[in-house]
Amino acid sequence: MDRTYLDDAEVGIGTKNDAVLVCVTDGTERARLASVLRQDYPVRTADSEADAIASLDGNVTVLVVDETSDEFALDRLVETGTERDCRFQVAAIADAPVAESLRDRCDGVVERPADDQALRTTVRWLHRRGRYDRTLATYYALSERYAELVTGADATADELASVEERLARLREELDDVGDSLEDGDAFEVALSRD
Amino acid sequence: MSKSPWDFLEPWRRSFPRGSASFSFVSTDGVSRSVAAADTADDAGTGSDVTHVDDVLPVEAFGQTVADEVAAHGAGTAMCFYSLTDLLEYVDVETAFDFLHVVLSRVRRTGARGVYHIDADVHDPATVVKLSTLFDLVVQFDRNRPPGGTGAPTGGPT
Repeated sequence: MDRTYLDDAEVGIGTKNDAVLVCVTDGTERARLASVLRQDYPVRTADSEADAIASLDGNVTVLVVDETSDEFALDRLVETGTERDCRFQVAAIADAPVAESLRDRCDGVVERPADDQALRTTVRWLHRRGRYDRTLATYYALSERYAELVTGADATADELASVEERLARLREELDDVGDSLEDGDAFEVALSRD
Repeated sequence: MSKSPWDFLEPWRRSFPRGSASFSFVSTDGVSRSVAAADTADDAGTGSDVTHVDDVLPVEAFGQTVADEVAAHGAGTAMCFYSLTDLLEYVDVETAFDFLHVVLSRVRRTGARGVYHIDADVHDPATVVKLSTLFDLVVQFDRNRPPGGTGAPTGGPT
């Protein structure tokens, strides 16, 4: 992944309450990575799997996990997130020899030592993918509601107008974030939603 | 999908002055390929080309091929998607919805325009309304109206 991503404000994507959760055991490294990522997003940190699990909620958009540490089991964190209905993208920090083998299990990989710019670029890219995933899911749910109102018998004009207004607002955001993704990313994220 | 590119070509050619437009097709019309890739063939004598996408490939391959074709032809291209009804034979409504948003995004980003057909008679009304939220305008044609009648814009939610 060698493209440089603009920050979200430049393409009109609101970060809202989106957070990045950094799971790294080494205190110095954890503080450094958190400081780099705080330039773009609110950052939470965890030095143990129990801490990470406690911090996993619907605001976490990107999970950054040190795969070189035995403390964190990537699959368990992802499973916990799925059980909680959280939608996030996963970046693994790994040593070069194993980095390639991780690409099937996570959305992005940053090779150690994690270079500041590489980390920011990867997390921005994953955040963009995560935001598209979430916004598309919300837009679909709202479209379902709209269809229920239009085809049902009980909708009031106010209710219908309110949903139409929310759809119009959300669509603008959805289009902005969708247009900002490369073709492959957009298809991959959209078609892997469940 | 259910129609071959040649079903479209002749009527379209009659609608445009000779040489004023070129036509390209991306088709999943049952032409199977043993390789997992799109295959472009220039159809000698018709001045058009057809890119066949094997319908056993994931829908993503079809979408990417459409996106590539629209990008290759550039701004001002008119894209006709025929049809959402066929698409819904391959994937469920939510997958179709997500897929279409990406295709719409690629078309818009290129500066092209798209027209997407659906046979409203074969889907439940909620499905049609749900999909309609993706589009700028919905035009409904009644096949029982006499020829020459115009479609009635019913608008979209946005």
